[in-house]
Amino acid sequence: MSSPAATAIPYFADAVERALAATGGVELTAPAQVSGIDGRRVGRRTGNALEFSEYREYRPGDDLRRIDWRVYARSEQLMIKLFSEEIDPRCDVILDHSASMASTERKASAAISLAAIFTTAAANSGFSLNLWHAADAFRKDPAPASPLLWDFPPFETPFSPSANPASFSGQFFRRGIRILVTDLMGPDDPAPVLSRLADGAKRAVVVMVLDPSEIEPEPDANVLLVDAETGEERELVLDEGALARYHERLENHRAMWAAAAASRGVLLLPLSASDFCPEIRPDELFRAGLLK
Amino acid sequence: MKDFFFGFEHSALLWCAVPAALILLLLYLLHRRSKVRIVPAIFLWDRPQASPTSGTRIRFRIPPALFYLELAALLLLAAALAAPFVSTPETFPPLAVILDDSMSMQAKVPGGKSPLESGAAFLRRELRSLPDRRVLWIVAGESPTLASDSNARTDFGAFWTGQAPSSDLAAAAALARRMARGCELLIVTDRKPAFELAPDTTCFSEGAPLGNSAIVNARRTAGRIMLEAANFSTLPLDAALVLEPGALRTQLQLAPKETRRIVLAVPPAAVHNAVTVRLENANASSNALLCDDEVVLEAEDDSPVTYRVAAGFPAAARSALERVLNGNPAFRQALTGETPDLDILPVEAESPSPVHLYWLASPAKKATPADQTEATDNQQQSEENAPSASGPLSPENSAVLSRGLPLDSLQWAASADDLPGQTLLRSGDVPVLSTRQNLARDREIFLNLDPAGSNITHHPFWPVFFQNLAQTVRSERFGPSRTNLRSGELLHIRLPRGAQSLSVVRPDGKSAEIRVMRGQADFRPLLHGEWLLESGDEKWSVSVMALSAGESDLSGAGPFRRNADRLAVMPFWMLRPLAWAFLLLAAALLAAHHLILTRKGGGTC
Repeated sequence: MSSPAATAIPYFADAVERALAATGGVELTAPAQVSGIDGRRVGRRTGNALEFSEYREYRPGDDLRRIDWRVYARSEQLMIKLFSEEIDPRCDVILDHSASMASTERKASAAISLAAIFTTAAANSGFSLNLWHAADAFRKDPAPASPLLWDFPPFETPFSPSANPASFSGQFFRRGIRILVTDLMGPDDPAPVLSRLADGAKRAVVVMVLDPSEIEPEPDANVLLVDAETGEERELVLDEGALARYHERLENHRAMWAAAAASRGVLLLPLSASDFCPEIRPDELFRAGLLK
Repeated sequence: MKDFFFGFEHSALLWCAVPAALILLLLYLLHRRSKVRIVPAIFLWDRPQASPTSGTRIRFRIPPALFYLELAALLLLAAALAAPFVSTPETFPPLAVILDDSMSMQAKVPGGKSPLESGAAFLRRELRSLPDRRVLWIVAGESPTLASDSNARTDFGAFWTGQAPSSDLAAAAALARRMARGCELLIVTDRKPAFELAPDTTCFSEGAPLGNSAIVNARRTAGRIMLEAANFSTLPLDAALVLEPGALRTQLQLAPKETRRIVLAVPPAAVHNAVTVRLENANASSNALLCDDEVVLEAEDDSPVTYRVAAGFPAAARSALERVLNGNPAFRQALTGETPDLDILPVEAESPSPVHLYWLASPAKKATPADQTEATDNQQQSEENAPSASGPLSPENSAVLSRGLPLDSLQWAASADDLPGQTLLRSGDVPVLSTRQNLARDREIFLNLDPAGSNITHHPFWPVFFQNLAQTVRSERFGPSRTNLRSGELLHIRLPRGAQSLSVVRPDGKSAEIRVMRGQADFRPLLHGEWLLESGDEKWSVSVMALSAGESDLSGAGPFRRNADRLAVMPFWMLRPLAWAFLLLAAALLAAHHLILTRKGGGTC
């Protein structure tokens, strides 16, 4: 089966350009506990590194070693000294290239636009950046901060992040932000892939992008449904009953992933492809605190 | 009959609906092939076997409601094209269809169609457009019969069999005119009718002057069979007569148009059984009718008539009786204790016999005192009461008893008394021979004859009269009057005393009840073959034969058409067209179709 992405980036150039134009100055929000070695960026988290930041009242559980006893002597108030930590933030963006991502052209465009938004925002924020094309194998893009130069495989592999956790083996940054752009349309256990995503990361985000036709499919009389990845076929009448059962299963599927993500501290952000193609409406990304 | 009926002016155009419906169905099949939709996760969808009520493959084969709407609209449009109309029966005059039921309607060459088959096809084709028109179906046999007064949908094959020995089309036309004033006539026959056709009469004939060989006459009597075989073709006939049982063959050569009489002897073993004679013509092309090639002849009941002569006859009369009865083998004196077939009595009296002959042989009746009182005013009449030879003898009311009686030089002396019943012979104005059936259904014969004043006992009249009497007595025996008869001839059955019903089984196996009146029944069997009659414990067989020279001779048959194409063509103004209603309905359906499509949002169906 030929997918829209088979023509690679030139085909999606318009989508990428629209995404860049709409989110030109955005930055990726750094997580509260981001830390680094090189110190090119001041971390939000107050820690024990280089620069004094402020005082605050002692709260049970605080490190007693940080109590400023001199302040206590003067004011009889237990105050804690806070220091700003200089960090070097890192970001891995993983773009799912399985065939299901191109079940519609809009969905594929939206996925690429999202990846472009995230990488551009990360670059704008001075993050060290990796872009991973998750196809049959993980492949690092040589120009992650330049979406128009991306060289990625077509959306036609049977890869599914949940189906083969072992293949989910990119050399991610330690203690960085990891963003997986996918549709999570696999029947398998979400635990392995979520664990792989969250392990060693300061922050893990799964952006679940679905086409409106997958969220609210239209009723139809005669449809031959073909699975984008397995090729399995089912001939159905898409009447109200069939659609209601589809909705119920889709919600259960989402809930399963949401529960699994929550248990591992992974943010699951469901998005509609219509918000990123053809118009770019990144409000949800701001609301979720991913962009600023 | 219905108050109105419905039809199409151009019913053939209804066939337009068939290709149109097929095209619609084809379009649906093409359009409604399963559309392919790529989905990212098929596991979220039903499996086909998961739900039997929806979302499964089985519903793919059922067209949606819109298809039926479109189909209905299409059919309505096709119906509108065929110009539907509604009309009342008065719109059309009744149609009287006269069906020639004679045997010649069955004639055909091998592989061809008989006039009956062609006529039936013509009727079905022409009457199809007006199925509710009032139609009088008249079967024209020897006498016309109204078989049905219904409509054009009647199954006329049930009563139109082509078995009658002749057809009286003119009488059938007259019957139709009487039954339905102003009716149109349609005659289906095999030749041009011999009478002048009225302007509104339609005629259809597909007959042909075909060659035929036939047995046209047959009789069985006294151990012999007398036949007449005819060759109605233009070629010489080389055939064989085969008599069964025994397969006795008699070669027969007949010149064209020749009819020959043949006498065959009944084999001794079959004297009391039925025999079959078959004319075998090897040349099938010169034998268009098959039903006239075979006759079955039942054994005739020729047992002697038993008689008893009562006491009280004058010596001369008794002597005359004994001479004629003893010299005729058709009579046998009844044994003691035996109920005779015939009782010969000098006066009216009770008798167990079915036939009574009252020979009133008394001399002239003398005038009574009562007569005397009138004599003054009517002296002439008083003188005529004396026995006399009276005037010339003249037969009246043809009957078996008076058939062929020689009357020349016959001197008849009789009293001037009137006789009861139907007079068969009169001397001057005096009835001398009469007959009647009394209340007990016995046959009574009255003979007013004074042997002393007559030469009758030495005249040929006397033995011929008794020969006729034997036949009469035999016909009064219980059972059918004849056992071999032509198709369509009247069959009289005299039933035993107390019998209330008579059932018949036709040669085709169908049975029927015959109406019985006063112990007798009459009907005209048409179907050729052996008929079985049954009344109580009594059973009889009767052979009905297709013996009709006029029908077997097909030289007069031929094609003839008159107004055959005007049956369904009626003035348009007599009808109330309904095409507008069909168009309106179609438009309503299409509007509903459009509404449904609009609600569905752009025609996903």
